[in-house]
Amino acid sequence: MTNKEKFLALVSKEKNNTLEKNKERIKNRAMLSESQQIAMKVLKKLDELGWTQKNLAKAMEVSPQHVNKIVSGKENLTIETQIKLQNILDIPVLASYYESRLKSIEELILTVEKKVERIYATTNLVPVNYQDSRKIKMEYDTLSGEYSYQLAV
Amino acid sequence: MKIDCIFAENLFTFHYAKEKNNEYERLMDIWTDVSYLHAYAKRNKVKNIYGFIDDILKCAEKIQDFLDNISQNKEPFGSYFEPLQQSENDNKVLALQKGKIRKNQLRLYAVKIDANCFVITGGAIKMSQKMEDHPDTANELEKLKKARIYLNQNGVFDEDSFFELLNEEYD
Repeated sequence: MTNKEKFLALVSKEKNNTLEKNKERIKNRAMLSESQQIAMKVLKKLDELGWTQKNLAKAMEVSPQHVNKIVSGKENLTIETQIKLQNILDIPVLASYYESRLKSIEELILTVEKKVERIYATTNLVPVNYQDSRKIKMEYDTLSGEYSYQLAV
Repeated sequence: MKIDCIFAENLFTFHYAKEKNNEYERLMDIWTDVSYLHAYAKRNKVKNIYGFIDDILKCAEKIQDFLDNISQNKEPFGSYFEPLQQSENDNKVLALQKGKIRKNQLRLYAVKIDANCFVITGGAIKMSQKMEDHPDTANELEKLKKARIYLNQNGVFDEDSFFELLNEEYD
């Protein structure tokens, strides 16, 4: 009996699906990657707020086990769960987070423009370099979900 | 303790009695668990916690890809497993091996049965230069030693494999 044969005699005869599970991980990588990114945002925000996972479970009205699954980054999260996380923690999860922020920024620009127009109308002054709209350069931090913006030169 | 076959007659993994999964699956589960990595980074006082988590997740994906590749015979085994210590190369059939992909922070440890047959004993996130300097890798070293003893006790060590080792050394 060779060394290899002696070794093979020790190997379990039960079928295992390690290789199939590995293939499954690769196949689901895009989904898992999104889930992991959300888990990181949640954990970072919990750290910032000084919240425990139990605090979050209470705020979301779900079980602590559910939150545990969310922060593991292995769950295929429902849209309902993503909305809850986004609203309760104020973190970017869905496209609606950016869209609503963009909308409020646009409204802010419009208000400022109208105020400027009113000021010039009442003072009858026409500025030499006044523009009706201005370009704003925004930079976005994906993890914190914070925008920093300034007037583009 | 039992040994699971991962594929063909080339790659195997220990499945310890106290664990739900075999070592490869157990490690892949924790190395892709953001919550586990977050706690691990805090426990080990990692400065950039989220950068660390991101790195480990990517490293785990590389290992998954690697396993998938070698299972389809795209890469030779030798490109992955290398001797743990120089002393392990000297006239020892059951050489302790560590699985390493360049710049990967994760390590898979294995005992070499022959030139193209390995059995994984465990793995760890590399946090120190020497295995003895971190409790996780020190524990993995113990697991490697116990695995070797277990295999020896079951007669997995004979002249044939000694001969194979000589062949390997002259390759």
